[in-house]
Amino acid sequence: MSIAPASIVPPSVTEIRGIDEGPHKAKQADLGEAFANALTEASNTEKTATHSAERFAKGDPTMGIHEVMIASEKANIEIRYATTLKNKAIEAYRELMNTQV
Amino acid sequence: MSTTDFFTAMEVSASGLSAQRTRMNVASSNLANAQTTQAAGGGPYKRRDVVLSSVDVPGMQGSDFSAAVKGVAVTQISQDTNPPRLEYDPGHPQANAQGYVAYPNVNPVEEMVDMITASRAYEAGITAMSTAVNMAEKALGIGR
Amino acid sequence: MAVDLSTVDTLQAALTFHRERHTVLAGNVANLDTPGYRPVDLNRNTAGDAQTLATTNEGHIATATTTDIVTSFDDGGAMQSADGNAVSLERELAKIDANRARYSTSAELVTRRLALLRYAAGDGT
Repeated sequence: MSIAPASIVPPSVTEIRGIDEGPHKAKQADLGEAFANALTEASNTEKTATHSAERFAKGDPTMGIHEVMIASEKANIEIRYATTLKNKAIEAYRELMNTQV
Repeated sequence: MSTTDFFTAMEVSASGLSAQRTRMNVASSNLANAQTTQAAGGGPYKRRDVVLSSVDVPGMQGSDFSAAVKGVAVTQISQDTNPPRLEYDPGHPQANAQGYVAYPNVNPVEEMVDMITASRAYEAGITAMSTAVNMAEKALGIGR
Repeated sequence: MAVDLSTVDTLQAALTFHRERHTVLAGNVANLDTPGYRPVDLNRNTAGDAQTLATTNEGHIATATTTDIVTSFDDGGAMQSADGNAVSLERELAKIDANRARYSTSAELVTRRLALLRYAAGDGT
């Protein structure tokens, strides 16, 4: 089942994207697709962050402080985004299920 | 591609501090022994000098700009090979047959200048090191 | 990208460059009195400046992002002491301080950008 209204995707995130890229239009993806992408991205960035932290902890001289901090923040952001989408999807589903026919 | 963290910058600065401190010690030693006519091994004290050279920093190998980053090291502490300074003083216990006493070739003014230069370079090294620490702390603040 | 993090990547490349530059400048300070030493500096050409590559004189090195070309160059100038050392302490310290300011600013900018994205990703929480 796909839920079409793109307004369920948090508007604040798409607006941020607009600030970054000017005339680029925020993609009106359906929620299921956005969620799947978000999950993949969250998983990838989380792996990178863990890997970076491990390398730093082992004293790897090529892993710098700001690299490790930024990697960890990126993972944090992606995971929060995936969680937000999940919550929105559940909310939308509940609303739909509560609709009186 | 590989980069190195602030610790490399600190090692570079540390090498400078170490070399300048050695230089300072050598200058102090020269000053302290400016009048030493009888050093260990016989004869007057021989003035010492440091030889500084730029060296590769450990941990930089394989980094993209390893050729551009150089630390410093004291590669040699050389002894003065010039003949000693002779002063006419027949009453001195160390006077030779002609009445001359052999003194080290130490010029106190030169040694003081060396100490001041070393001290200035040491302070500059401290500044560079503090800056690296400051930048690292700023990096730690990312994501707070 | 689920969340657009491209500005963060640009700022990260800037942070890396300024850290590398500090290391090189620290080397100049350490070699303040080394006979024959000539000071080095790093130059960065970002994506739009590819045509200036031909005029730089040292080896070309690729760094964190594929759009950044970092080159090292001899910054000694004509003034040198009797033993060939060409380092000017005042100049190096000034460069170190300016570089530190840029690093701090980039770090601050990336912190704020990440905070904003974090807020947006959490849908206002």
